Amino acid sequence: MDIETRYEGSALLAKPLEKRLDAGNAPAFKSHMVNYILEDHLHIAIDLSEIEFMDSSGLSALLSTLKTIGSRGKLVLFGVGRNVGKLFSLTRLDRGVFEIHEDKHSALQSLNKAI
Amino acid sequence: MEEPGKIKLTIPCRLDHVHLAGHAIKGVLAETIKDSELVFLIELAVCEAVSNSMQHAHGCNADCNVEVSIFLCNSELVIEVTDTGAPFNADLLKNKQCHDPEDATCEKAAEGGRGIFLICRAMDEVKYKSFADRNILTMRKTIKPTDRDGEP
Repeated sequence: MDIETRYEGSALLAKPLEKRLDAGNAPAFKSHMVNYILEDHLHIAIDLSEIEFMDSSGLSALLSTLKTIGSRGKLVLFGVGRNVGKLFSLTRLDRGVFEIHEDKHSALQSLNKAI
Repeated sequence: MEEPGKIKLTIPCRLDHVHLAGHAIKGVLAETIKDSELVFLIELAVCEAVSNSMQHAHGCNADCNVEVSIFLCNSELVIEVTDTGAPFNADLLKNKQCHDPEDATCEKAAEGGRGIFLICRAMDEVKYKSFADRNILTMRKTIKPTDRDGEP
């Protein structure tokens, strides 16, 4: 799975370059994210703007990333489209579990406060 | 003999093929349904059902197949996902609230197990039967006139 990464200060910006995050590629995505965390990137913003379809496996990969970071750092999401937003609202993971921002600026601002 | 209007797909049990079922259902519905959120929810239900069959019934054995049949007649959409693997506990369908994490926190939220919950939320009726070495998940959705393409 292709993920574009770059640094904004101490924060890592990760953008999956796929249209889908599903059972077919969620394990690879999770593996990439765990590797970033093992490299000590503990403040991560994930840009989901390319993702048009996500299923429960995609959610699981994001949850796994969130839990792996735990209280050592922070994970925020932005670029959430209509379909992915519907998935978060159906599962209520947008309420108190994932921090979802409107845009990159807001996401990075939140991360920088935690660094 | 196939029923008229019924489309059937046979997909090898490989998780990197799940998206093919998604693309197929989206393609079929694109001609009929204009509500993109509804199309997404139906695609989601189909992909969850197919990946459940591949993973839990067949253990992702690529020598096995999962069948998806799609039947759209007037206002009723019926999708069947059939496998010949190990059956799952149909009681899971009775609890539509499972993994509905009201007031969840990161610590409490389970990493997985939301597939059946999402299928039940996306579709109007979900039934499961297992007989003669075949497991069939039947999902129904009523397509309202306002959801249909070209309807006022």
